[in-house]
Amino acid sequence: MSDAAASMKYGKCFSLGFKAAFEYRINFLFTVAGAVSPVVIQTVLWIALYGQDPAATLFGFTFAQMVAYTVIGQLVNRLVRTGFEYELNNDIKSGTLDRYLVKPVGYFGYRLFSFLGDKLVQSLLMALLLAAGVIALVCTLGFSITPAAVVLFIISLAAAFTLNFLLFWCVGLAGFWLTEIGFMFEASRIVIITLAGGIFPISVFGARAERILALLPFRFTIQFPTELLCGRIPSQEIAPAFGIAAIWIVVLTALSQFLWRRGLRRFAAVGS
Amino acid sequence: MSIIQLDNLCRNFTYYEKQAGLRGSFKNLFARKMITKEAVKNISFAIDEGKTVGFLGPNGAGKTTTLKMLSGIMHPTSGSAKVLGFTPWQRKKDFRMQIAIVMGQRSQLWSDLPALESFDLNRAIYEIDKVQYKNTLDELVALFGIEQQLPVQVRRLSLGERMKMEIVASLLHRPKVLFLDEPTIGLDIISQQAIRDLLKRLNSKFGTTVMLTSHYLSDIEDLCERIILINHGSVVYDGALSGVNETLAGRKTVRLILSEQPDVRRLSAYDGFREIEGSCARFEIDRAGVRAFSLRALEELPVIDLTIEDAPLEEGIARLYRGEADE
Amino acid sequence: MIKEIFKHLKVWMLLIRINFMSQMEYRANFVSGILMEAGFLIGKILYVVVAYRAGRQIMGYGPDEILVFVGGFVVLTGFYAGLLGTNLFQLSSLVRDGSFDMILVKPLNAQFFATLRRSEIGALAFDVIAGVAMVVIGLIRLGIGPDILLISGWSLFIASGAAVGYAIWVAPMALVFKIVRADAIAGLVDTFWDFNNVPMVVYNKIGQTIGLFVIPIFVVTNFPAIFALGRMTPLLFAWGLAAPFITCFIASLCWRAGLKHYASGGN
Repeated sequence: MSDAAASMKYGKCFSLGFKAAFEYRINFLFTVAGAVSPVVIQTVLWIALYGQDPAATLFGFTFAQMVAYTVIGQLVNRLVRTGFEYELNNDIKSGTLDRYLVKPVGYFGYRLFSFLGDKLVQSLLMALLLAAGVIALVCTLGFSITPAAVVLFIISLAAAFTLNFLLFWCVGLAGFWLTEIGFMFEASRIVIITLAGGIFPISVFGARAERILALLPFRFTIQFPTELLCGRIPSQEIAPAFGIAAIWIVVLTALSQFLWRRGLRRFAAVGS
Repeated sequence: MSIIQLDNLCRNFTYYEKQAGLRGSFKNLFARKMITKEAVKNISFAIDEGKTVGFLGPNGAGKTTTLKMLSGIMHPTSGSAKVLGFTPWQRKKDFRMQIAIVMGQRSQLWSDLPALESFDLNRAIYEIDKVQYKNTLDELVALFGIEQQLPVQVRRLSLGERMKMEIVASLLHRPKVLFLDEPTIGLDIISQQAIRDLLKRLNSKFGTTVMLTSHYLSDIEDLCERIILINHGSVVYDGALSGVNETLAGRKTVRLILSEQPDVRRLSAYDGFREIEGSCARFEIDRAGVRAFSLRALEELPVIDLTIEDAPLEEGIARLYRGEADE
Repeated sequence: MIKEIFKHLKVWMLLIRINFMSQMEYRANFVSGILMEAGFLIGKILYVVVAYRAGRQIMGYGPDEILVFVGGFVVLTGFYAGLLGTNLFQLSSLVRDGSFDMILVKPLNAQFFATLRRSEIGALAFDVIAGVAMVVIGLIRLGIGPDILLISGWSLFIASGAAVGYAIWVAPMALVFKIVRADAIAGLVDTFWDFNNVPMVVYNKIGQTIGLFVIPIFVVTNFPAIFALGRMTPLLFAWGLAAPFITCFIASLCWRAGLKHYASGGN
């Protein structure tokens, strides 16, 4: 298949995902509301905790830094969030996976580009929200960001998208082996998000946990991009961190291909 | 006194048009075109107690919509109806306690458990006295011959057996009126026949008034003396089955595949010739005349393949509608 | 009227039994339902972790008191997840493929049947056990011994909270008849639900007023803890008893409007 033809096919998947996202406009409104509420709850909590002395540090953050983390982290959380694992599981369970296996577009590619297409709509709007959030932070809390930080942030987002996609791709593949997995996705999501610093920064778990989690892939989906934007990562740690992220992308890609092949074998043998 | 009575019942649906393509999606964000469909147009008829009536029509004719209005699920746009003296869409409790509806594609049974458990649930829902429940259940089990299937999980039953269970579940409270919406849809021929036998026995045993919709003529043929034919939301025929049977089922479509393309004029000489497509010629012949026609065609034409099918229901109904019915 | 209520209770008990039997057929399903609750529990416990590790009070509430709060929250989440959740999740597909008709035709209150038909006792049990454990541990650490009065009062407000919670979940679900994409609606209520991760005093006066009297999410989980920790006031006490009736009434109004829309062939 020529490159042009391939990219046209993937492009079509992209536009389908884009269209679908547009269709559910009310759904989107609710998603936005769903992002705002945890920020409100946590900010209120931090106001109460920092109480009298906002200059104090809790878990390594000053009040301003903590609020910034909360706002930006939540937006990044929403941004990298996936949902395709349900469709993937559905395709496996209902057997319609067959349909995709004979199509010229690879299933992995189909899922990935549908995901990205869906995300593009969301990203544009999330970017607006993010910009608004940052402006608010700058005005109220004296928060500041540098252009370099923004650039690094965008690069790290690419890694975050990829890693999160791979993580949930692997989670979704469990549908080949486990019968009723649908409920597991939300539980898995919470665990992954927790370990990624998507609810509270990882430092609330203590120093030792923090060191371990720094080496795992989860952090790179939420904590790392967020801290990059906030300028909280010391410059000498940035490159090594990207290195770890890159290694995990490779590892997870290999794992996902392995699981996919194994899963397909089982799918063909057992059916759904 | 009719137990079911409809007067000028109407039901319109309005919905938005959805255009294809990305541009269409954009457009839909701002301005959408509204379309009105008249699903049921001024329907009136009455059914007496204890009768079994067939409600027949092609897909989209308005059968299910009418049934939904009679069972209280849907409000009409205009007109009135009375079932058992109640206005169905007021959904009074006493009304719901005396009717039952079985819909071909929808289940009320719990699929992971034996049907008995769902029956027991219905017993509580319909407030059936324990003794009466047992009697009714025993009667139905005997009537339908389902003793062996009772302890089996519903999802393990065949489609036909499942439909039997659905019907039993709906009869436990001895409803006065039973609505059956496409009960044999999706079933194989043998199961369809089994359900029809079952409904025949039901009629004589319990005296339930049954309103049966279907788009299979054979369902109605077996069970109903009276048939109401509906097409495009209007009643096309309401009367004895015998009056219409010949019209509907009397025609057969005969297709001939010929080894050489013959002269169209030559084919037109045969009564019932409709069209020719490539080397396939289509004829509509009366059931009675099929044999004579086939013999003649096989002898006179270069036939290499011959198929005989029922003429589509729509054609029969269309002819009725146009008034070309022959009795 | 009373007879009807008893009938519905009896049918409900039967439904819970049927659901349990049905789920035992799929033990993996049963287990994963519990695991899902465990996942959500982690999300809630994180707030307790923060409270303990921060080493300071939150608006006058120490970490042990936060534990009591969140424990009650977990119990009430169990009621939602165990009794209400599946039904709400399924509702939009029932409406979409017309299976909802089968609910309407039965001589039962349609709202009751549609919202309580399915249940997951496993999830309920898990949350109730985890939540009660948290409350007991917190109370013991505070030196408040659970006595009959405390247990009764706590349970009473749990029941009140459950009823208010029911209303808050069910009222917006009536939108399903108009919009049909109910998972978005459920997500929205979900986020409101999470406001109970912290005691209501953490919010400012306006927020507390809204959360108590306008959309009474705080009534759902704050009151059992407030009672157990001896922070109850007469106003809150009265409201805690009145709110369930008012909110459930409003919810049934919403539902009735939604049903009317459905019966008029909406969507």
